[in-house]
Amino acid sequence: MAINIDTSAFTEEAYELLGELEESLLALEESPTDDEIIGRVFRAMHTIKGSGAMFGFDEVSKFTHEVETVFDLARNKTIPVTKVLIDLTLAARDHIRSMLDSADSGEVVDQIKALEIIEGLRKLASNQDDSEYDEVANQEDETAQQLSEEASEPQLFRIRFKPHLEIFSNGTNPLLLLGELKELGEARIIANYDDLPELENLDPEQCHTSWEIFLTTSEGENAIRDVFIFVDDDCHISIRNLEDQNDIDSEPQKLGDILVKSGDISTNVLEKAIKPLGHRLVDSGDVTPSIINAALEEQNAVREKREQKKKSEPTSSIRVTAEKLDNLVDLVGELVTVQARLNQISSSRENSDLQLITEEIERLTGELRDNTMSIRMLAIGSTFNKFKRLVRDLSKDLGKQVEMSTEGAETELDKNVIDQLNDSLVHIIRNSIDHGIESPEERLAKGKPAEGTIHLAAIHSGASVLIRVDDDGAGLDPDLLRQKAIAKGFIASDSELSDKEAYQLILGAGFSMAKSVTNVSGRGVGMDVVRRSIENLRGSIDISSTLGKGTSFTLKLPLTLAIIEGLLIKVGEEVYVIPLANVEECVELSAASINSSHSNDVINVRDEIVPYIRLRDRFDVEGERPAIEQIIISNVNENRVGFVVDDVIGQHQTVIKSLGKNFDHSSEFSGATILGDGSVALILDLREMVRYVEYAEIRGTL
Amino acid sequence: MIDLSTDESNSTTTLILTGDVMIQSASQLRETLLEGISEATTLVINLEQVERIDLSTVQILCATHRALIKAGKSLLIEGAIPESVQETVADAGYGGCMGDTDSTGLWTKDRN
Repeated sequence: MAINIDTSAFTEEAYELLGELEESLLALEESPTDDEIIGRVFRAMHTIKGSGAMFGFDEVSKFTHEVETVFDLARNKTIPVTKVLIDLTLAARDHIRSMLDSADSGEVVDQIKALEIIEGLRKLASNQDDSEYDEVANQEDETAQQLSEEASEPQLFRIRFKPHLEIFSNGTNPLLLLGELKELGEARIIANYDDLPELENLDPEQCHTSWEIFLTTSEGENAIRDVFIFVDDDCHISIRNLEDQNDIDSEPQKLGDILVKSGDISTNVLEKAIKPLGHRLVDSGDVTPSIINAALEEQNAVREKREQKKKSEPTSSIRVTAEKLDNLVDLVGELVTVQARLNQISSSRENSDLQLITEEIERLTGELRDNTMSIRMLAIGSTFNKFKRLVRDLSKDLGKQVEMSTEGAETELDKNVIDQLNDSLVHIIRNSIDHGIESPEERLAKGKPAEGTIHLAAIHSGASVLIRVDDDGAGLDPDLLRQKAIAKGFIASDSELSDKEAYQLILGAGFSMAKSVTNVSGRGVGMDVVRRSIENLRGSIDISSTLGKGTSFTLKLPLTLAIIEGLLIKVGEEVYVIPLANVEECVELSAASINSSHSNDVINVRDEIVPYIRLRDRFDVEGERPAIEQIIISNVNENRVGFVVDDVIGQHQTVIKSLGKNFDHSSEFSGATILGDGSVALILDLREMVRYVEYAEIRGTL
Repeated sequence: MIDLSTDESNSTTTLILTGDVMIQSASQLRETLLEGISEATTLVINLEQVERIDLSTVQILCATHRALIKAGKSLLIEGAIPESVQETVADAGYGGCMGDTDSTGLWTKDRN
């Protein structure tokens, strides 16, 4: 498939329009008679159709046209906006999306589905007068044909073919060549017979005709050349790809420019020919020169005004690819690392000038970092809107009535976090609708309104964002969860779990509370995947529930993934980073306090018993322990846990580098960073370390 | 086959073409036409029985049309133009002898 036009602008716009379309359709479902919303739906489709055709997405354009045709009937109040129409249009919207996706991925689009949608729409339209029906039916045939053809990008060529005078005597019929061109695509053939001599002087056995052919074909230039392969060298043939030279979406070239470009006239001739209108009018005596001058003056004034306005209008936003932003963040990350190194060197030399510059650079780097991060921030609202559709479709499938509401849609999060968050939220919402919210009958029996609610909220909280999914469904039963966990051997039979800990059980692998497996959920893989992907984002999940009243999932996510504040610590000769967000305090661990706890790996911190993990033991570090060690007290899953280290070095701006595929199994490290002296430090994932130790203990006791 | 006849008043010449009129008969066609338009004020061409024409024929008919216009004479097409002829004209890109805007174009549909 030869794509010479940059279509990304179209696809980007189209994806956006599809989002709008979906939103409008859902809004329309609520108020089916709102003309403004119908207009919005119509405009979105119309734009997709128009720019689709312009960028060579003919299938998209064709298909959208079908939908638009039927929706036009709704706009003119010929047919009512019904649920069926909205369902079909939503399905059509999804199909357009998959067509766009397939243009990217090269996957084959489900054509049967397309025909089904069109068939459905046709049925709606067929209640109307027959001419509409026929029109739609005919278009359907066309579309079917169109769809069955392989998707490729046709291009427009201008071919000039001037045969040799004696071409007939060579046995070549130029008309056959033209016929072959026509077979390549859509051809407009224009003969030039200006050179045809008068009948008296005409040699009837000579060819006095030449041609300009405008051919739209997806076969490419070589296929066109092949047509002329046996033609005498004396013939003049030129082939120009018109889409190479000027964007097909820009204004068509002026006639004069085309003629000059093709060499048919010179610039001088052109200038002579296009005498300004004013001169011509004056020459013809219809107006006086002064009237023309006044009109010209007016024209100039308006033009100047417009230019000024153009200049003063601020550009509100620009579109940049995510890739460019990622590069920028990477570079800023490098800069932060280098700056740390500069700091280190400058502090070791007693040079006040160097110190001054270093401080200045530190300030600028910090600002640059904050600015860059803020560029990547996106409002979560667009993600929320996507779920409206999910809730609608899912509740329909499951025979439930669910209303979704949102809050804090303007809350901003790093683009990468939002991208990775999507699937997790889908899982949680699915679970809430499938297991949480009861059927309308059941709800009514319990004295609840038949329609359940799901509330999505996003709230800023320090360096984190909290995303909450609340439902007013059946809620979780902690006792049932405990029994099930014991039965499955996930926890020891005598373990005491608080309700909160019991709720966390549903996030474990292979744990499903569903009584039956539906195609929506209940396979016990979903929530486990959710937990892992949220933890990959360095976030956490908190679950609270009231039996019979509903459940609430709270996802705590970092604002950004690229740079964190870290605490540098030392174990043996190695330096590690602990995310500062997890650190509560540092206390000393002396031999005396070890003795007082009878070597039980717990410490008394202001009358609170805190268990600790020795990193020396965990990492098998050899050599003597220092006499006084440090314990980093941190908050892991709402519990205080200590980590014993040799020494605490200090705070560090940590640019996170991924460890790469080879280290996927080392879940206790979430990444690595480069220190000021160029050495590498691993970043500890405290939650995983605690989990590992807990798991080892449970395994020991079972 | 090329058959030229002139009416008694010498004012109208009728040319009836039949069968294949291709490059093989191009010279003959040109001679005949030159002869036909020299005297008459109106040339009538009948193409109803034509099976095939080619580019050389199209060129000659076009040149004839031009010559007639130049001399202030008129050309009439008698009977229907067979589809094969129309196709060849379209394939050759001949919209009308004097260009698209010329209502006297030989092959344009709204020709009088």
